[in-house]
Amino acid sequence: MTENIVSRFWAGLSLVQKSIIVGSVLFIANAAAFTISFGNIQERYQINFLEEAGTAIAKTIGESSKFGIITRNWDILSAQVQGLLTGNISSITILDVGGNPLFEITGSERVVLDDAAVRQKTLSESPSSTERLFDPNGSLHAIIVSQMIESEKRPAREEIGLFTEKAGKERIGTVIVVMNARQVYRELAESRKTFFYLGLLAIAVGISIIVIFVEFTARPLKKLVIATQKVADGDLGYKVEIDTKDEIGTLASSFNTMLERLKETQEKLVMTERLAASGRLAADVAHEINNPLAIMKNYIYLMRKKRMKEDDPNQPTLTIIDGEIDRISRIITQFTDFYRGYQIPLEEVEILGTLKEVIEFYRGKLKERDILLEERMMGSGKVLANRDKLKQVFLNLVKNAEEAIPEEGKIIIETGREGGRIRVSVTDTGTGIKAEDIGRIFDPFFTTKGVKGFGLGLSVTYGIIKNLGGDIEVASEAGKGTTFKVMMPTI
Amino acid sequence: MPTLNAKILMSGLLLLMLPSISHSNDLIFAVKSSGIEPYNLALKGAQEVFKAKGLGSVVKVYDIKGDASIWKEALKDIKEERPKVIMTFGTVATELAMKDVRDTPIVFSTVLNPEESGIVNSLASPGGNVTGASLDIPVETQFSYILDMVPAVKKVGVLYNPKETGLIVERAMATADRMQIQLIAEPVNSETDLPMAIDRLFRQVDVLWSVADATVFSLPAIQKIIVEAIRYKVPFMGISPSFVKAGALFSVKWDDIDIGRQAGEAVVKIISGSENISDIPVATPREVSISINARTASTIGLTIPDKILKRAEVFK
Ligand SMILES: Nc1ncnc2c1ncn2[C@@H]1O[C@H](COP(=O)(O)OP(=O)(O)OP(=O)(O)O)[C@@H](O)[C@H]1O
Ligand SMILES: [Mg+2]
Repeated sequence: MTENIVSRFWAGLSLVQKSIIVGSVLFIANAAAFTISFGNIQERYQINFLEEAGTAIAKTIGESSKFGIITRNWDILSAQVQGLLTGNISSITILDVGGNPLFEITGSERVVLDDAAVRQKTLSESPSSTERLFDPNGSLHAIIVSQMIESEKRPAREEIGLFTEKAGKERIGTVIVVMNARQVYRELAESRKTFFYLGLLAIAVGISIIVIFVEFTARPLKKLVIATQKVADGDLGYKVEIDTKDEIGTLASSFNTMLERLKETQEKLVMTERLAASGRLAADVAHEINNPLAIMKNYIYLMRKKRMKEDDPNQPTLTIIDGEIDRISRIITQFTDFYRGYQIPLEEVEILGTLKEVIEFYRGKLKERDILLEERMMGSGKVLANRDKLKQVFLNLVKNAEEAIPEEGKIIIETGREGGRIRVSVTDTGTGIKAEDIGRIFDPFFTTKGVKGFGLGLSVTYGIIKNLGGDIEVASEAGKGTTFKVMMPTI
Repeated sequence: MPTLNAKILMSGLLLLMLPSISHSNDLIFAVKSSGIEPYNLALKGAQEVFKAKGLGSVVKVYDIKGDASIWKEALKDIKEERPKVIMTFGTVATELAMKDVRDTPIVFSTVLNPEESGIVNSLASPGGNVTGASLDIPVETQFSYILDMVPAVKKVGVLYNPKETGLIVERAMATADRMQIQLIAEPVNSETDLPMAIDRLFRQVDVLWSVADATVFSLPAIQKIIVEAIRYKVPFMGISPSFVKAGALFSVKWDDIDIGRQAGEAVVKIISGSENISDIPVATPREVSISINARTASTIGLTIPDKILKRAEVFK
């Protein structure tokens, strides 16, 4: 029942509150343990002090009272003993050798003693003794210190003549000092009270320190919590600013790293989207650029043919400019093709014939490079497409195959029918594609060929094939070769 | 409760009733206050007497070293073995024995001023179960030695604590009167009185006499008095030859062994039953001689008569 309440209460607390409670409990326990042990030490110390004081007083009286005792001069005795009377002393009694009281002085609070026991003490041979009297409840009641009073023994008369004055000492009495221990307990109680209040103060200060400490520790945690909520709300740009060196700091920094990764991934996504959008935009822009390019080209033509002689030193420069304009135009056209593919009017195109045209176009180049060409035409069909675009597809594949072969090798071109579809595959014995690159080869502008390649070939190809409802697949093994397989629906 | 006298009477009767002296049973215990030479010599003297009389030697010797607890052990033996006589040497042993033993004769020796110490009622009839040989050289004898040394002496001074040696000094006054000497007694109640007392006394006296007073003659005070006596050029008669050795001009001395002999003779009398202990007076030194310090004599400018010098023990 209570357990339930406690655990429910506990569960309802925040981490900060829990920390404060645990810290406070530990602190209070610590303070209490300290107080108790300090109290015990103090008690022992006080009692020892009392005993030492009693012994010292007894010794002093033992030394100073000789004259008074021998001469039985109570005035002197009284004056000497009175001067030593303090609040802790219950009584001081001086007894003669027989144990009979000669003189007694009583302090403010007299402890009643067993007189017979006291007398016994005076007859005992020990020069001094200390006894602690306890109450039935175990607390110290009194400390009784007895001290033998000795005097130089007078030498025997004949010994004076013999110079043998080493007669020693003889007992002339006993002094009994009774120390009142109750006073000690009263003082202890007083000091315990002071200590208790000091303890309370210490606990208050201690708990405040704990609260402040926990607050400081919890602040970064709170920041983390806020950050999590912000991220959950979609704010990836948020950064947790914690630079503590503790575990929370580590957590914050890995949280930040996670955020960065998340942001990168998201940026990639955004960029892909943007790329698609900008591609379309570029297609529009391309049209606008193509026109001034055409005008430029026309002016260059006019300049070269009509205003310049054929051996003019500027002719080669203009040739280069003309070539570069062509290049820009080509890039733009390819862009346009990629994004406007679907707008191009379709026609029935016979695959094998189109493929042959591309092969014939490329055969010379392959022979020049000692690349073997193997044709395995095992089927044909008609597809609904743009003839030039389809040519572009085959050209791109063969061109890539040729470029993938470093010195000598073989290209296999194969056709076949598969259900309602025609298959055209181009296989080469070239370098192959690295596994890490295979996912990116259809991306626009992905190229491993540096300035020689634009990285548009495969992306255009992909666009055309997808446009006519076909598929393109790649299988490659680095160092051995690559096969591109195109599947197109036939009519 | 039998009175002390009755007890003494009874023990006396018991002794008288003994039919014969059985030597082998004649137990004598000796208790020395300490191990100093005078006690040993006295014991030797007593042994000589026992031997001469055909008695066995002292059976047991205890040295209680001035310690009452050692005495307690000796007392145990005494109670068990019941010696015929207890011999004590020195005041300490004598007083302890008197306190604890009432039914056995105690014969002391080498005790000074037993009367003043309360050991005996008087030298002539000591009383109780005690007698012995004291070191008390009669004051008269002492004064006659003073007269021998300083024939022109008129004023003799003495330092004393009335509480301690008042009785001796009082009696000495009478003796001095008789011998037509003026005895000037300067009381010293505590050590602190001493310097003043010395100054006062030494100015007016011709000779300084001394009594065995523990207040006056504490060890440091002895030295001071000897030195001051020489400074004031006062012939100083010390208590014992030890004083003379230390610089006092002269002292009378007893024979330690003979003191023991005297005590031994008293023991023989008791054991033989020839005399009741209470009837045996305390012996005083039979053989008295003089010790002189020659150097002190020349320092203070005193010429010692030849007849004295001849029989004196002289320290140079
Ligand atoms: N047959 C092949 N063998 C090996 N790698 C190939 C092959 N075909 C394409 N690739 C890889 O794919 C990349 C992309 O090809 P893609 O045709 O799109 O661009 P490109 O050939 O680099 O440049 P271009 O725009 O001039 O064609 C190439 O750079 C090349 O790394
Ligand atoms: Mg290419």
